[in-house]
Amino acid sequence: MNILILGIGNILFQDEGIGAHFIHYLDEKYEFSSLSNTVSIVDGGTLAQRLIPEIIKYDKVFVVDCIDALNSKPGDVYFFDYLNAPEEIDWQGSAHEVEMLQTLNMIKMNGDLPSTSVLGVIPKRVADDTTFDLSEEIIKAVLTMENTIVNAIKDLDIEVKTKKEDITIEEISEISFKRDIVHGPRI
Amino acid sequence: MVLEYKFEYHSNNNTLVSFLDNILKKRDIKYKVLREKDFIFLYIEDEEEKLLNVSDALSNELPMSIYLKNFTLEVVPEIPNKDYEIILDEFKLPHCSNCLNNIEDKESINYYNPFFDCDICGTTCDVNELKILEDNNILEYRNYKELFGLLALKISEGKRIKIKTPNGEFIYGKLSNELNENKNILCTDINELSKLVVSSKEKTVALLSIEKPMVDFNINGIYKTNNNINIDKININCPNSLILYLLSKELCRFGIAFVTYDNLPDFDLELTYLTNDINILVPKITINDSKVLILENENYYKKLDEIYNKFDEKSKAQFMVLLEENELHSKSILNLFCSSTYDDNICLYSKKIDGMLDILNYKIPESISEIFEKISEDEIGKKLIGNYKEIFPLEYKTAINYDISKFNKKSIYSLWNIASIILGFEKNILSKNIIFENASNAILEKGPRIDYKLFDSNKIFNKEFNINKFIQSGISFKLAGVDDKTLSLGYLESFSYFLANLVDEVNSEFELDGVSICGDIIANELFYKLINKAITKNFKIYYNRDFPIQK
Repeated sequence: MNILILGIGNILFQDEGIGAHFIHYLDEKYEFSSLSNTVSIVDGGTLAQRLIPEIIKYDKVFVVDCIDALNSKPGDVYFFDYLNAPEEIDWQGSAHEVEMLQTLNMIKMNGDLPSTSVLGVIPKRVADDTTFDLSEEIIKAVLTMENTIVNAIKDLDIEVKTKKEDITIEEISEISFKRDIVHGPRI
Repeated sequence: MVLEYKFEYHSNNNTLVSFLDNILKKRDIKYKVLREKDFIFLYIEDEEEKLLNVSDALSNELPMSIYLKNFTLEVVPEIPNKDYEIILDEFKLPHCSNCLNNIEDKESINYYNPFFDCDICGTTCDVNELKILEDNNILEYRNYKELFGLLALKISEGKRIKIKTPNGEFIYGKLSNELNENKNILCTDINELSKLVVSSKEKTVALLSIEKPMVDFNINGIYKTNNNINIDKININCPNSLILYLLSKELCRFGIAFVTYDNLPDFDLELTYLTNDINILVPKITINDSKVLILENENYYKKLDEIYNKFDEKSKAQFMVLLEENELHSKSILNLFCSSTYDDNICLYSKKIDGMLDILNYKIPESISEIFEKISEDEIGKKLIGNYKEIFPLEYKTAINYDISKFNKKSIYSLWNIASIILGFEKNILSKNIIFENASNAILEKGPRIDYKLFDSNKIFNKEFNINKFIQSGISFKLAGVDDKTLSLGYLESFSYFLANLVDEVNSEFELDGVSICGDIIANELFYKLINKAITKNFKIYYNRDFPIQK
């Protein structure tokens, strides 16, 4: 099985870049290995529809992105199957999220959508200066996001080893724009 | 016994064929030369021992060439029974190894004869006297060996000597610290090359090839530091005439491995001869990832000039020549023309559409204020420009007052120049395009993702580039603290992904047989690497062959 962990988000808008920062964080911290499966990590940024040819190559996709949800607060983490999204989930938060929703819908309509899970987090939306800094709420949410995705990956018969224990999401968010991904596309 | 030599030769000229023919026709041997596009086949038939002698002769006399990529040798049952007429071309070439064997042989009457007639490479000259003048007085010499020794001595003493060569007249002098873009370097001793520049096997081989091209090199760091050199690149060639070759031999005796040459008016001595035969133009090349790109050249079939001159738009003219050189008229090809001096163009050619279709041209704004106003039309953009003005007041003010009318070519190169003004990149006075230079000097492998977007359109042709997003994303990253070099790398890297995506988009609407790239921007080593990495879908990428990548 070929697995894709796809980070989405505009890193120039603080918490809205968490999807992209988070996959760099996973890539830096963990080693994934399996005899029969592959794990690829891709920083999708705001590429949206241009990611279609990449997404459809895989058997299982994890999309990491910001979302909106009714009765939620910044830092809340949601993990769900894309085709069975809870009713309270709303992807209308920002332009890139709308684009991502459209992208997944387009793939679905073409019948090419792999099994897709979404790891979503509620960002703290602040219209401030352009910065890579993340809010306290998002920083705290990373532990939950991390445990969730690591467990999901392990369930797919992937061995997950920690290679860099002390890395933090704050450190990663400062360098993810210029960082090469170690677990880049395997197919 | 029949031997088949298979030469992979990436040129439309028949220089290699001429050499094979000239070497073999002197021998009593049965041979045949055939050609199929990039492959030249030589068949020779004889007894085994004689074939070994011929092989030795070929390895001694057949020159290296910038177009010769590889060759294989195998025994085959027979010489193929097909006829193929190869028209031998008459391009003037520099000397070959046979010339050198003769003029270096002390027993030969041609010892140190700079006007040797060669029946292998075709070097001929109707001149038999060299004059050396100092203050309008003719200096006497007993033989050519003495003459070249004297010239080498004068150069070693710091004199500048004007020398007539088949390429024109140049002033040769000792290598000094005053290296600049107007000076080229003649390398007299290839073994010393690494003392001056960073070389590669491919570039060294190119210098010694039959074409004797001028090759661009990066000056090595130690030499730059020790000699306070403030340029990064220098053009070098090896002697491309017997006069320069013999002079070089004597210079080596004085421990001089490099001399500069230029067109400046002042000189101390003059070496000249009477002839009008000054017409070998040295090609200028660069080599990126083993790919030879021709920057300047005159040795191509003149039919290409006729094609080129039919078009006013340089991008189209260049594309048409490329199609002709690669025999692509029946294919569907997307051409990416990116230039520092002409308008860019991305254009689709296909027989199916009876010609060419413009996919993308760039528009250049009138002023930087106009760009800022457009960006400020939405709330996020307005806030961004406000922040930029507040945090980088000097850069903002300089940008607003900068006259960008000089960047009038509708090209990505102009847009990069405008971006560098807006972003306040520090610029050396000698710099032509700081984004290019910064990116090439960036230590990192990856830069931030700059927005290269097109305005929404349902058409696949005549698309319009969104310069506002292109600038806006650069400002955003600068505000986030990204340094100039990394940001520049982002501009270059993201451009390569943009082009690759455009290729994919066009291909999804209109199936392509390949992609072609021309224009001088592709000569940049980093950009070449990035675009070849970005275009991933197994598209064959075509370049000009003998014609320069930008005329």
